[in-house]
Amino acid sequence: MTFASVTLIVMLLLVVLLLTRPVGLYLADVMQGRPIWALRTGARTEACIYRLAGVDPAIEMSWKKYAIALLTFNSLGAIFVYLLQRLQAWLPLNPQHFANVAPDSAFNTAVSFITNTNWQGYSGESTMSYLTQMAGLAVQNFLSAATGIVVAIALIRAFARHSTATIGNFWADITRCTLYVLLPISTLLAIAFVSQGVVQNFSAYKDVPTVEALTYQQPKTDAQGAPINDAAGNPVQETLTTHMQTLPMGPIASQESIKELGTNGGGFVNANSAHPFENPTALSNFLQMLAILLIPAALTNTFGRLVGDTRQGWAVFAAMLILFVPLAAMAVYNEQGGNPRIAALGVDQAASELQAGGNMEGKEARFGIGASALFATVTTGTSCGAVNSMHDSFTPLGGFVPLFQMQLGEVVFGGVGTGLYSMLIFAIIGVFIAGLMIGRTPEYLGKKIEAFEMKMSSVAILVMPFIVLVGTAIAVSIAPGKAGVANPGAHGFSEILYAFTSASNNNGSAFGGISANTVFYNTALALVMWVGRYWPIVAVLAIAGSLAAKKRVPVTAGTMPTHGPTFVVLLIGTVLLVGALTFVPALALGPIVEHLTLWAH
Amino acid sequence: MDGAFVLIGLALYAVTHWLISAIARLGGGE
Repeated sequence: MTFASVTLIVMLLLVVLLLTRPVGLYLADVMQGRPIWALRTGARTEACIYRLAGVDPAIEMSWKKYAIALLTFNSLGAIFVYLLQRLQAWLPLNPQHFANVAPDSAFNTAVSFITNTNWQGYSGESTMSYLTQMAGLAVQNFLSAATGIVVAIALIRAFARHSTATIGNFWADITRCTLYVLLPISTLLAIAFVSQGVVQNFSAYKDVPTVEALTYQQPKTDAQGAPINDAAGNPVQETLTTHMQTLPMGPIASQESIKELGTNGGGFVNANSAHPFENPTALSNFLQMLAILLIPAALTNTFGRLVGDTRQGWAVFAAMLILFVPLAAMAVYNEQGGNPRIAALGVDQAASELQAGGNMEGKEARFGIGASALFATVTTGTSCGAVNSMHDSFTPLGGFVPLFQMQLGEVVFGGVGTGLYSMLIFAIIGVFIAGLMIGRTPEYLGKKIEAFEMKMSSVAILVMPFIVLVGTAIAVSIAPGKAGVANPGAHGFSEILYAFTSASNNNGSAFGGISANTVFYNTALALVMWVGRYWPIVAVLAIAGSLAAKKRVPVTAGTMPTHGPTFVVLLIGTVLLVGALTFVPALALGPIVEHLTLWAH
Repeated sequence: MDGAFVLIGLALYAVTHWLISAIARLGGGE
């Protein structure tokens, strides 16, 4: 690891740490509806929204009503995004005259954006009109992020309240979260991105002559976009020459800011944050990583405040941080280490003043190894999925980190809301295991953890591995699943495993190398995105309903403290145990065997 | 083909709605 890489990791975590408390406090004030300046300023707008929607924000909801409101609201969003894509050719703000999106791709994208996944089987700059990008995709970037946050807030309320049948009002929560948290912060971020050179306009795309003719090779694809292989199974290449380059334009900065802040990750253009119009400078790259971690980290502080003991929040933060650091170091170390087969050819892979060294395949020269590997760790530890480098080109162990982070359930620091509520589910499982060991009824934050909470925690934890492993098994067993894979062998398996892991965890990043814009992948991944998002949410809200109804148990000498180092170790152990035991066999078939193969020669 | 995806979407909504009701009947504070 270079000094620059270490400095970058330390600086990023330091700034996240500094912002956790103030942003956490602000989130707590907003979600409690305290009359702070922002809420007083926006009171009229907020009241107007409630009046238009016919909502009384003072009416509290049971967990069931809360869940049905959430499900219905998100489903209506999916219908709207689907229709927008299917009708975009006849709608305004389409200067490139893009055709309507195909039904399977539109379905996949609609589910992808309402579930906060932002998996993109399509190429944004050659598929979506500005209207679809703004009114469809960017709007869902806000609303899906707010959905995750309000579920976490409902669960926190359940711990904070007692002997009540309600967990809040979904409509009030989602309105306040969007209006006072996501909109203002993303506006500030968008301005910062514009200052760095991120594009923000409604111009048609620009055709620019290149300085010299460019001849390049690319894998030949069939009409479905699937790679064509020769008799030996290798991709057939075609040679092309061009004198022109088309530069994409559009309202990129405004979408870019919520893409990171809401841990959405769907890029305006296909290259995502590797594209200079989305992420032009080292500063914009740093701001993007910071924006991704900001709310997930701050929510731990919000949690501590709302349950009346900020130490509880710091304990969860510490567990996330301790998991993050070695995983980030592992990614950077392996990418900086380079490829032994290239080194064997006599190529100098050492970092120096003249070169980044290491494995630079698939990475932007302006970011280098550290900022690329760290970005990959940040984006997959959360549910973001934005990429500034191609994860498919990482070394096997470098690529293992993003895959494993998602398979842990994205709790380091996790998606907006999803990270915290997933970590709290692990905490419930952790205190249950500790309770079994010491022979006491498990408690967490003064609430007894009983059979119903454990059943729901099991549902919340096991849904994701089930759909990842079953989905991958089906895909590698049938022809449509194997058809889209460009690389044979272990790497091809990793590509499929990554796709199902990313979709099920609502991450949305792609390993690359797999042509997923096919009817099979569009449909299969949409199904796992939906189930991976809403079934755990239903279980979490059910736990919230159950906990809110319980009485608070007084702290005694026998109560296990959940704000100290012992609990942090227990929590980390639970996360690793569940994640590792579930996925190690699958990982052994993908990145681990690939690593052993690479180093065997 | 639109019809097929509308049906899949409706099925996903219906199954998730059923899941909420089933869990509520199981005794989740409802």
